[in-house]
Amino acid sequence: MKKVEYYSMLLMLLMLIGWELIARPMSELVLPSPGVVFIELWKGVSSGYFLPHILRTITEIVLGLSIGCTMGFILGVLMGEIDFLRRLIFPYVIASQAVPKLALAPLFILWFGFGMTSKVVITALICFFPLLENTLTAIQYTDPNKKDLFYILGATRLQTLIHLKIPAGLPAILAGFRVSVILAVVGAVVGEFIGGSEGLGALIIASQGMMDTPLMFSVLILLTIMGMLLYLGVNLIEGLFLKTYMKGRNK
Amino acid sequence: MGFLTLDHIHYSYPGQGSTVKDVTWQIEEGEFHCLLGKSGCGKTTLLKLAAGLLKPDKGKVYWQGVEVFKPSSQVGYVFQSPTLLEWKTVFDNVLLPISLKRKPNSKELDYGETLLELMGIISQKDKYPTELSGGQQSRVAIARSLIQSPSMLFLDEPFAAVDAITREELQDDLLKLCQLRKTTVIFITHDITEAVYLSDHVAIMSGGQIVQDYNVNLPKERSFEMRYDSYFNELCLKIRQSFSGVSS
Repeated sequence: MKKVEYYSMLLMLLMLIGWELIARPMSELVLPSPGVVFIELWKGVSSGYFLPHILRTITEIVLGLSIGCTMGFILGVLMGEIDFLRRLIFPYVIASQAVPKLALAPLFILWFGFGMTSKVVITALICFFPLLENTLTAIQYTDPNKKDLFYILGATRLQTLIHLKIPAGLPAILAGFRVSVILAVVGAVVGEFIGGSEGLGALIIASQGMMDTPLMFSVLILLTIMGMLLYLGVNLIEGLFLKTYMKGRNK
Repeated sequence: MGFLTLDHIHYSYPGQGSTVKDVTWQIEEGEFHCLLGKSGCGKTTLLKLAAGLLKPDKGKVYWQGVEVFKPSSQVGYVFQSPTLLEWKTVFDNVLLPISLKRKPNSKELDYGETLLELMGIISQKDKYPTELSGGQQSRVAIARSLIQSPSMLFLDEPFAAVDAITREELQDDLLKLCQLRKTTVIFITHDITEAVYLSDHVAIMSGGQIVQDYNVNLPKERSFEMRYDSYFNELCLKIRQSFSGVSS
């Protein structure tokens, strides 16, 4: 383990000690100590109480992310390729993004009910824009010399798109995906806050109602772990796709 | 009519004055022409017009007597930057002109390897462009432009980003390959000695026009020593002086 990683672990330990010291004189209702929170977390995990909620939130994130990113990518490619389409619908896309999507959550619950659909729609809508924006920019700003090269080589428009524009834009597209992943967790949890009986967001609201602060903290820790695992997943995907782009630059 | 003929070509970019003004230029088969000129004089635009990448506003471009409307498959083009695809290996980059149309056959694969060998980068075959130096990347770009054995090659300052020694090596490699296949070449450069060393003709461009065209009477087989003989240096001086005349 490198020196900096030791320091990082030490920092975490110091933070836990600081938390314990601050929490000790306080009521458990306001700030439970780390010991109490970890016992609550262990009880919830070992009894299987958290499992359906975790699965529900993950399902919403994965579905919302898949739908939003797929739509964003497809529309980004189409708008990048077809100038008329871009000029026709881009103002409306901007307008739709100017509306705070979380403020639309009550409306989606009204339209799609308290089930999973409304949360997936909110998550998809939040994930859609970063992918659209980055894909559109990547497709539009392909190196003009490389486009000329493909023209000289007699490549068709589809060949240029598949063999040049999309692979060349992949780093930017994946940067959009990274933002979408982070926002997906926010989308799903906030959706569950507003209307839902299952999922980690709903559990936070329930713990608030029951004044069970240790439970709330345990759910927050679960959400943090989930977010970090997703981020790790994105890093793995990026490493896999961008391996060749970075070779030699890492030296 | 020559192998490549530019007949009273005019071109201007939208919202700008004329970039290329009434250029008439004739290139014969197998000749190596260099186009010299200061930055912004219209060299790259003229090269793109000659290659069919741009359509002239006025005038016509003929290739083997046929008017050019778009780049021919018989043409190779090397850009100022190597324009390699970072996600493909060196060998896949070289084979790109073929793999875009179909799967390369064993003969083409062998020829790709031969080109890499001639360019001295066969050991880099399976590496990615980001792992190569600037000079090696330029070599890959040249090998790629030659993979379809084009009868005409357009090069736009391909060695601009490499050091002086590598540049001399690349010049010799390029000459060797072009002489081997009797390729007709138009080569853009800023460097007077490079132009004289490489070409049969040196054209000077200024203000969108070709203002001078010099014949280079050196033996086809170039050698390192030639760069230091009196005829070579006199010609370089003459070209340099004509530049002064142009700018005054």
